[in-house]
Amino acid sequence: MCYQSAGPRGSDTLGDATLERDVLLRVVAQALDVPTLEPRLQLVGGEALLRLDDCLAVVETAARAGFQSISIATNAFWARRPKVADAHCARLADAGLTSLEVSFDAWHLPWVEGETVSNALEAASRRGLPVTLRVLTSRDHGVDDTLARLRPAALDAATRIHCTTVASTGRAGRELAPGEFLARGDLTAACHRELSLTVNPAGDVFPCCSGLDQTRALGFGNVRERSIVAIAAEMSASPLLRRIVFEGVGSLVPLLEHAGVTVADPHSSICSLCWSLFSRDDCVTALRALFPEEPFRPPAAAGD
Amino acid sequence: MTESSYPSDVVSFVTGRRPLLGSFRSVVLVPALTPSAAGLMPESERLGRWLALWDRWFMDALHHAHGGVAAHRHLLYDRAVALKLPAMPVSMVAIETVGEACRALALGFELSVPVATDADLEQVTATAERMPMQRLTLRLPADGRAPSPDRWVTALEALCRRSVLEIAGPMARVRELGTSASATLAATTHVYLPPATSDAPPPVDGAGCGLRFAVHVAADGWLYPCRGLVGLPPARLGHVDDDIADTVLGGRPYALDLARLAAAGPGRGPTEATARAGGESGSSTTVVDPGRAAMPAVCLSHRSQVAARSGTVSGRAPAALDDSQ
Repeated sequence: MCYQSAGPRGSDTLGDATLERDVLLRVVAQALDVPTLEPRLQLVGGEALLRLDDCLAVVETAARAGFQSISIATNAFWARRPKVADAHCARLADAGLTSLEVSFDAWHLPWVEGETVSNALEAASRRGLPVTLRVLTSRDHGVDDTLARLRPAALDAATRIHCTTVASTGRAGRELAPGEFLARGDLTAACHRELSLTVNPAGDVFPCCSGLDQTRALGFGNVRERSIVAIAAEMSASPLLRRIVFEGVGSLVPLLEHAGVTVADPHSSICSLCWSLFSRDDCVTALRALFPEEPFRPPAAAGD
Repeated sequence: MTESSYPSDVVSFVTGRRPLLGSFRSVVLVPALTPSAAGLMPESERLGRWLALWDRWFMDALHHAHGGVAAHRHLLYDRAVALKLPAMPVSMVAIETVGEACRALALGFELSVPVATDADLEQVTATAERMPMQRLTLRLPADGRAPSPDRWVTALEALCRRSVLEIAGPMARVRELGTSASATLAATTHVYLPPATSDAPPPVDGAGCGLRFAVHVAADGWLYPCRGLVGLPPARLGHVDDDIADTVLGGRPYALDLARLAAAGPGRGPTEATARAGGESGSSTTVVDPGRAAMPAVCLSHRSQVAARSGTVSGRAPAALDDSQ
């Protein structure tokens, strides 16, 4: 959920929700029974490595279950000292982690320094662990601003440096000026190639981790109550989700406007548009009426 | 010694909840590092015809997989043909012919090419204008040459609108050229690929080979399941001039257990165990071979195993390209 919603006090949308270890392990052990799932697992936060022991258990379980790519996204807070960074990377690699993703950009700066991130990149490289540096950009915060804060040797230690624009979802959508966002793609595009079956900290399942997972209107299922395999099957059969994923979330806009809902806000990406539509009460009310068979939560539950 | 040194069995690409077919839905063209009489890769029109046969095999196999297309529709996505050129060719016509063949089959095309001069940049930009590419990787050479900064940034800003752009090279030089300062580039999704900074083999993401499998087409037209086994006769899946039915894809028995390799990898062979005993896992090498620089230790180890069991005289890895070449 990253900058979209997470912070020291939990998620803006979900509060201080967290998944219990036994739930995590059960989901990971079952997930590859979802027939359309690629054997890739990623742990993200918040900051997943605040729970190092749980992460190690998840990684070990995932490796035994047959996941072939197992990665963790982290802000590298644990790498303030190189020896500790080395120890962390060794433990993670020995547990079966196949790659690390380190997020660093202007919005991480108040909490994590460039030297710390540099330590993490170099430690992963020493351990033989592929490491991707993930950088988000905006109009006022370019790639160079971030790269300049890292040691040159650390930059060359990264396996990949992946740069993309910050999306106008979650906290970013609320706190950054509209002009900060750089347009990303075409609002008529579809997202079927970008999906990641996502379990959010509350245990709810979504088809992506780019914004819809931080809304509460739709409730396909919670992994504390149902198996992820059953939930995924129901999502695959959902006409609403299939419309969003294959035709694009933009295909909902004419339906909403016909129902009297104005969707005029500028959106920098389809993720931003999707998050907005499922966050706005008027949009959700209209969608509930347009798609009565879909598992929309009752208004009170959706607003909790 | 021949391939009969290995027990052979027919590979099923369609059975199981997660059929092996998914690991062979893409193609990697492995050009020769130096042009031979046969050229850098199979002749482009011949390659185009083979791609059409391979695509037909894939679609037919999908229909026969358990649950059919409905159960495995997701395997239709992310299918691509990737080509990593060792040097900028004099003419891109052959490359564009392959690219057009991919477009006709609705396959993505991914190109990686070294760019050392303004002329190289012009050539790849012109190609990108004529031929859509899903992903374009521009590699700055290790010898310090590079296009002029102005031309470089202008070209990148044009190219990033057409493809996902990857820029390979030492980050100091990439930044000196003004790459990461470009606001236009910053508004797109793009990737930097720093080169390996040590002699250690590159790390590999994942023990199983499944995410690294594809149909690899060598310059001489032989087909292999992965980069590490290119050139080893027991690992051949067939040839571009064969009917698909006469290849491993079509049911010819094969010496390697592809399903096991896809799920769990080759495991530790004697070479890798020796290497591990001598140093940290994933970072030590014992095989002195000029081709090893860009190949993970697990791949080198497996290559040595396959070569040794088949009695191949040399397990010498094909000289491999790293992203700085």
